[in-house]
Amino acid sequence: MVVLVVVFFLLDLFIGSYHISLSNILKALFAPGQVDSQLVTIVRQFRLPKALTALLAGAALSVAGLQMQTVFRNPLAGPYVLGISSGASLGVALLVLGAGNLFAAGAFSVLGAWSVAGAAWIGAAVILLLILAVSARVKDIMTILILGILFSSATSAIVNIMQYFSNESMLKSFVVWTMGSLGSVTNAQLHVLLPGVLLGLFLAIISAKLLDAFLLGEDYARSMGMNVQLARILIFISTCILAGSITAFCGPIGFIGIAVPHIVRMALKTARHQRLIPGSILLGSATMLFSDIVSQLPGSESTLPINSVTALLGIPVVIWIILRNKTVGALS
Amino acid sequence: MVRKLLFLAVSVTLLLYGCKSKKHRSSGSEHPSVSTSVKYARGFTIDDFKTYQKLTVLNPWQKSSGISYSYYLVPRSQLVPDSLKGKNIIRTPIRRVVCLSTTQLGFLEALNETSTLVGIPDINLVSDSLLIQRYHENKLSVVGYAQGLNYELLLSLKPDLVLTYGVNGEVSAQLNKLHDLGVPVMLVGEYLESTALAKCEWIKFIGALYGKKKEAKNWFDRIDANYQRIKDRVATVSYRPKVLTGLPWKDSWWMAGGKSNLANLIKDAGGEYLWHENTSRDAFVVSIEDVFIKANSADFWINSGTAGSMKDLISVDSRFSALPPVKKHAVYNNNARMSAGGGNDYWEEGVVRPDLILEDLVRIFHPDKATDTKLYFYQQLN
Repeated sequence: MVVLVVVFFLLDLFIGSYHISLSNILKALFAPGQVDSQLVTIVRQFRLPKALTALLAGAALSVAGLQMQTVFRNPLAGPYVLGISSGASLGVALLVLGAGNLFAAGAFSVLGAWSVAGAAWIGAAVILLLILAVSARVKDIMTILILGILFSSATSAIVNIMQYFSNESMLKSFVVWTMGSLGSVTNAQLHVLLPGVLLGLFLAIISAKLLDAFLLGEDYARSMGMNVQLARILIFISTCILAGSITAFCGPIGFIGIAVPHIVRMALKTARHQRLIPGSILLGSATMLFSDIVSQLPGSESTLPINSVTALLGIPVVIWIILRNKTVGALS
Repeated sequence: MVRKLLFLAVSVTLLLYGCKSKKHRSSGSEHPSVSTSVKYARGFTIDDFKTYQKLTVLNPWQKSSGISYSYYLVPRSQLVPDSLKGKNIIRTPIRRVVCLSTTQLGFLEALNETSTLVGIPDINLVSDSLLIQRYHENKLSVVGYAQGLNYELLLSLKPDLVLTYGVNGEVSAQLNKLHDLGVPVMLVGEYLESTALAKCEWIKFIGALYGKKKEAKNWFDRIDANYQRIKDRVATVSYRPKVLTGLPWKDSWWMAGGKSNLANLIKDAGGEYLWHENTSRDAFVVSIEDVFIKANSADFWINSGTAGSMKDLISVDSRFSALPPVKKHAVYNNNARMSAGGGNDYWEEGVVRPDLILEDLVRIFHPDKATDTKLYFYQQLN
């Protein structure tokens, strides 16, 4: 598995429209003096951040998806089931479609990379707060799931209204954001993204035992002495950090979070999260790197948006899993 | 024998003459007597008949072919000929017009007919101060964009004509709706022209609606002559600087087509568009990596989205600071004339003054060939 990740990582670095040999890539990374400076720029400023982002995004979304599937005991749950991507898209919509309309002349930084990421993050955080507030009062986890879905619908409706009143260029900017992109994350942004994802993953790993208990049912977990409310809060925060950070910098990327945990469960044949989480990290990274390689359309000058590729790859996998297992409800 | 021949010759001549005069006497002749000449524009034709004009719009949306809409302009002082019953008739001069695209406003301003404008989609995009004044005096209303058109408000304005545009074939639904409501609608496709002069030539089209054929022709001839003079100045330059355009969104860069308006302007101004070999008129996607590779040889960067300063530009993607035009401070954007609400005069006055745009570009690419030292629509980013 680790070998797979390394291979895909190198392949992702290698593939791009400009042909650079593997040895040149390695030189550009470690011995920049020996290679043309333009090559170094391409490898270090473009290929490397993109590959790293793919690595982090795959890991983060898969682990977030795994957590959601466990907590809600729902095989179709994904990292966005709490409404995180809808909250993020509302934040970005308010910035690009709303503020963009009102302050078009003056506030160009409205479209700056950090503003978009910030807006997405704030949107996701607001949703998280709502979910936490609700989760503190509500005992039944299914209620929270439904509320999460309803929050998603509400934010989507608001975003639709804003789109309706926008002109073509604003709309285009927003729609392109929703298609997701791994290549626009610069090294500077990685300095924020990397710690964020690592924090989220760390929180997930320390909740491994809690997640195991959730699988057996919340009442059983309570009877074992676990503080369910606290556990929920911890897991929700971890999910929000993971999914929120990725969505903030890359836009919403779907299907990885739903498909990968299922494959890991089947491959490792265990329900213990101490094994499942690292498995998801590795397989998630590999899958995302593979998706990015596909989206580069090797051999052609154009590229595909990452969201389409993950959907096209993820959907057949999910269908295959459902048909093969027949009883999808059995998560163990 | 000779008398018979003479008789035959005379009668045949009389017959032919009789036929000819019969043609002249019929109302609404089949063939136009004179066509207003259209030099560059491919999107419209004007046929002049004795008592009316026929305006034809061709292929008014992207990727359309074989589509045409005909409109018959009958002056108010004339009766509508019987042959035109049932066709799209517009009485000229029009007195109340709704423009659903701000790019149509430039024509009104050039023809001095801004007082006829009663409806626009969004006041924020308007640059002309007279029009903004009209809005504040409640003589100009905001009717919304094409997809969210306020039909009731539009009807209440009692326009003689609504000028709209179509980005794709779906516009026909809107056209039908307006038609059913009894509102005269006309599709205007000036934005599809691939050269700036062809776009400007649509002033003849709009001029016909106001009965200002001569004024429109004079305006266009003047601009055409200016443009050619400027273009000739740089026609024989030895070095054509390489030009980058646009701004990416995330990691996709929509690049203007090699046969687009912008590419042609760059060529006429003595520059070389980096993607001049591309054969499409429409924009196409290039990955940001590809752009960086090609832009390594760029001398200038123009039309950089909505960036107003270098700081704005870098905030979109910090990797831009490695691009040669950024390092040399050779980035110029066409947003020097912006209104308070965000309207860009480049898209308003610029449509009818392509000569000023060309002069700006020549000033940027070949300052030694420029007559004016100040830029009009463009500004250097600092």
